[in-house]
Amino acid sequence: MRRKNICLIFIKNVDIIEHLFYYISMEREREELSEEKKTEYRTAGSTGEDAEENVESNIEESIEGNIEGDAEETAERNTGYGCREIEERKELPAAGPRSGEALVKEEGGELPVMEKLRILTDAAKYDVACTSSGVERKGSGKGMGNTKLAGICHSFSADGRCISLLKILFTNYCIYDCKYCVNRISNDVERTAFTPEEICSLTMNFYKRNYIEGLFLSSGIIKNPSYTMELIYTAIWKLRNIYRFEGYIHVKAIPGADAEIIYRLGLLADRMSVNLELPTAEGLRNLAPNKNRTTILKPMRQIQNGIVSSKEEVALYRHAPQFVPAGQSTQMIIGATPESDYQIVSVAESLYQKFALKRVFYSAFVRVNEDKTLPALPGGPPLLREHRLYQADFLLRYYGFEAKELLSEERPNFNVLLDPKCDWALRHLELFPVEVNKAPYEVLLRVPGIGVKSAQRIVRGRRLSNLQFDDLKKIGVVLKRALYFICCNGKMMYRTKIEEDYITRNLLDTDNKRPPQPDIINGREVTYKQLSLFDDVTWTRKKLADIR
Amino acid sequence: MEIVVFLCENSIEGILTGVYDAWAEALSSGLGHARCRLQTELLQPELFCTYRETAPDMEKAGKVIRTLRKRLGEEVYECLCYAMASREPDKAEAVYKTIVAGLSMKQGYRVLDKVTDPYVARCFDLKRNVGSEIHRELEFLRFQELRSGVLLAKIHPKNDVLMYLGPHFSDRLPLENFLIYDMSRRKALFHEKEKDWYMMEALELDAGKAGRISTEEEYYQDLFRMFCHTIAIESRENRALQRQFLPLYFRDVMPEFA
Repeated sequence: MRRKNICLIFIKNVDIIEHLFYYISMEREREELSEEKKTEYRTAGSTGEDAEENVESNIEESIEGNIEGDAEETAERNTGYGCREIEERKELPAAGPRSGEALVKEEGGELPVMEKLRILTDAAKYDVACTSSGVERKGSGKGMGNTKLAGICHSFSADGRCISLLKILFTNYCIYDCKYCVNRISNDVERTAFTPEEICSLTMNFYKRNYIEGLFLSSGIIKNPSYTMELIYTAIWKLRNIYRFEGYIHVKAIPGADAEIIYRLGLLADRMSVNLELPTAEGLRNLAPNKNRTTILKPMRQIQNGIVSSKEEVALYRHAPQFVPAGQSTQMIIGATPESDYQIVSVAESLYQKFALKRVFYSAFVRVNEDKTLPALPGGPPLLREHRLYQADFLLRYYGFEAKELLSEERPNFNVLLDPKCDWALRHLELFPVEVNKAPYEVLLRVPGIGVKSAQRIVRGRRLSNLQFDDLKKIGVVLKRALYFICCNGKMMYRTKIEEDYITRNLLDTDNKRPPQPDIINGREVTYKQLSLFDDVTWTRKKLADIR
Repeated sequence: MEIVVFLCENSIEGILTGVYDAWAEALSSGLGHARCRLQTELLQPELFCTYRETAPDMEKAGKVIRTLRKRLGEEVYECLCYAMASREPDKAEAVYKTIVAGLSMKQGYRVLDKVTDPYVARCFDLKRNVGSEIHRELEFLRFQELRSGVLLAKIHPKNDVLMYLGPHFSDRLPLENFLIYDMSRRKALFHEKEKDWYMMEALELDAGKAGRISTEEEYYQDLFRMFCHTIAIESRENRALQRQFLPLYFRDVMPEFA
């Protein structure tokens, strides 16, 4: 009861109170339901071990089964929507936002924009994706803005993350109660909402001054997903059609919203994303009681189908409207639930393969709420783990690796000390050293210290002349790492051993750029050592007696 | 053996005129390209060198440009243009010798793949350096709105990159009057609403006029400063990473660090 009172203090608008009551009644029902479930569980799994096994197999299922199973299901359900039905509705965007002004009740309209921006930025900062890449578009000359394929970061915040887009929430009112989220309904935080005008003028004025590359608009859920999406649509429509903004727009598709509105929004936005939130359905059930995997994958599939059919159309008719031209992305929270890296990477891999996502973002879990179901993080957010996942993610997308090559059931987590590529190479020393002047491109890509660009330059350069180590350095190969794995014209750079322990030791020794070289006297390798009487512990009484 | 050094003006036309003259000399006197050199400034005269000054000539430069585009292709031409904007003193020589290498190849457009050639490698280095600075200016340049409605940006790039910002910003802000001023070279790039952009050299910025910012300007600077401050997650703070991506060198013109 206490929690509900707190919420009421901050809400002045009658409309909000109305759907808050609606929510409260829902919550009560859900609580009752969950109580029932708990008792069921207790009776079903009589021994603790059984229950644990159940959970484990659930997780396994949820990587493979959920993504595939749900995907198939949603695909079936969506084929009707993916293209055909929507074709008929194509006139809608031109008709303008439906009753746009009426939809926006200007919640919290009395706060100054400065305050609103502070509150709604603070609420949006845990969203990861702040990229403006994926689409190259020239300005039409009649508005403001263009987009660059590679994207542009305009600033970097104190945590070293890039600021490319104006990343804000439309509102931080939310009817959901996800345990990890700072905006959950049970949290006592200041709530407010932007009006579409405020969003538009902020975006235009920031963009004009070269502060940002575009807008990233997400939102807490007011009333229901479709209603919220309609609000977002109003703002984006204004920005594109009244203010003539032609820069980058990234919007969140909210699971559970009408397919029709997602389609309309997709025609205005450059990128859309649906948050996967947590890697497995099990985790989602535990931490986000109002969300479920099927409703999340449904819009994801719809956007995928929309992108495919839009591309076909553009190929036929050059001026056909483009649907989400910069592709879709998603994000998941790492470290809030007990999944292993292997599970996470496998989920990411199947998302790339089955949903044709442009990016999967990982966000190290930050404990913003006190909740008994959330893990305690004495060492801060798991940043290194997040870093390793991003490294592996790039290996999946650009380097031709597969998840099962990097990790396995037996080794489910990444090496803390070495990056995934080095780690893989050390476990496959039988493939090395690689001859730089002959090895195929795909093999070069797998050498630690050689990236996509240097591999391409090597392949082009070696057509004209034989490459030496000096040339590799100029090309941009990181020889400090690569030297253990490559040879030029049959020679390695230094005398090294192809031995896992030896290479690991030298890779970790960041002070030395080259491995310690043995002394060579008269063509023979000499190893010497300081003589010490105390080192040798093999002296036994018997040996001593023998000597005597 | 005597070496002929051509001193040319530090500009694209100047360097390309130098290339034209050096080429003519190398062929006519039978010296060959090995004994011709190109420099933009005379730092320290060397022994056994004759120095010749060449005045920039649009006609000669135009001929070279046409040949480059035809024989080496747009990609190489762009790379050479970037390299010529560099601040390094050896750029003219690198560009000259890269052109020599390119025109001596059957497939001239492949000249940049000749990584074993030191001049080509140098040219590529210069291009990478200039290219990354251009990209950083696109990222970190900031406009201020003046009372007259004109957007003004002040920059101080290490290389002469001003020209390469024109296409990007005029495409992006076609309906704005803007002006980008290079403080260290006293050059400016103008763009008038719905018109093309142009550049002017040897200009002083009127401190009085440039200082009169619009009434809204400070408000939006404050808003953005607050935004940048708020968007950072405290428990992830990493100043070293921030410095790596956004060096202190650029921060003096950025309102969020004011």
